[in-house]
Amino acid sequence: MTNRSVTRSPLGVALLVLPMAAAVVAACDADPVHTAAVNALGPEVSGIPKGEYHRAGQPCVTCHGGEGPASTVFTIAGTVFYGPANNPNTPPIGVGNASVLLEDDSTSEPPIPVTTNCVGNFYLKPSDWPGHPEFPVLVTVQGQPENTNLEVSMQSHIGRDGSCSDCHQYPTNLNYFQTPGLVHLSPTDDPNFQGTDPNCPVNPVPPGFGGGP
Amino acid sequence: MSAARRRWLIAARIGAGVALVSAVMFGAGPACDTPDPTAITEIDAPSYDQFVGQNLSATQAGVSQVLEIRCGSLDCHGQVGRALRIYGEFGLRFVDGDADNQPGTGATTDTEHEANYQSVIGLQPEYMTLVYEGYYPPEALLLIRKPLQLERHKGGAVFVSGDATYQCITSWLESGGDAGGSTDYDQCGAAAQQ
Repeated sequence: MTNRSVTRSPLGVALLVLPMAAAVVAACDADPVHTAAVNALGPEVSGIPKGEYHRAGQPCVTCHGGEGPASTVFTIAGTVFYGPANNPNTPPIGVGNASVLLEDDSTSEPPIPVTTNCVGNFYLKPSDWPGHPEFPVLVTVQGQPENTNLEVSMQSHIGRDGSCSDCHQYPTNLNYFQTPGLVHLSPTDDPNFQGTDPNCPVNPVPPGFGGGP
Repeated sequence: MSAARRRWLIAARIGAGVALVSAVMFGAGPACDTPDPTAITEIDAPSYDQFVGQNLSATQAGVSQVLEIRCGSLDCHGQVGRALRIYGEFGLRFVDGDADNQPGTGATTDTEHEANYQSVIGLQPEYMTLVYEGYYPPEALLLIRKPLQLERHKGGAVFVSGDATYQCITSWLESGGDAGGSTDYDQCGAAAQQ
């Protein structure tokens, strides 16, 4: 019997190990729960480019929370609608120029106005309110659609979730027990309300409810 | 390598293999046992009536109301997936309960109070008994440890030792044992206003 001595060059070892490591990394999903949450939101809607008008009513911070895939990070973000839209004949319609008033656990308020755009979307970036929010956070929404003066305060606090629509979902008979419904200014819907800005580049009715580009 | 050393190595490998297989089988045996469906864990727990609150004034509250407000928002413990699951008027509602309410509509129901109570006392049933009977301090329970940040809590610090929420919950937890006592509804009321 003879002893065999096998030697490999560093390049040979690298060629062997690197593809294996790459395969392992590709097979591993760092956070499958996050990936599933992102995938559940579906693809972008044709005709609505990525940007401030897209995905109204969806949980913004799922993608914009720092884990990706969006590169812009939001601390709190959501969509304000006109009415509760709990009648099939009155779809949710986003409200523009609504003020979102926030106060966190240290009684701090954002130093800048937080206002919805014409599809109802609003967002706060970390640099907009440095070091905040410290949860829990209290919220009030004010707006003047159709020459009215509407204000509504959330009855409880935001505990830790920066996405309004993680809790504020379109109510159905499958989720009614765990959602207070969409964030809405008016307690009732108005069939005549068509949005706050006729020049809005995107229909303020979300695509899933008959709206779209 | 000598023939003797080679034989020794082979024998050692066989021995290690046999030991490994035995260990796995020995470990898997108990794991595959069927749990005893008749086994129960008895809990000596604080009063349900004091958890809900009895004869409360306008400035008082029960423990359940404090937990609903401080812990039970829909993005925290007002979720069906939580081990500590809290139902309430402004959070998760009990399906097929006595009202089938939506969050924000209708006061917390009796069914929801009962579900909250069972969730709280059933989270660590053995420890709950030991705390209630005065053998352990309230800080032995996750119910207190997590909001105090003595253990990691995704929701962060919710109260601090000695404040109204702390005194509300711990007075209820410690209402048994030799010392006896009752829930401090005034502190609960103050906690519910925070």
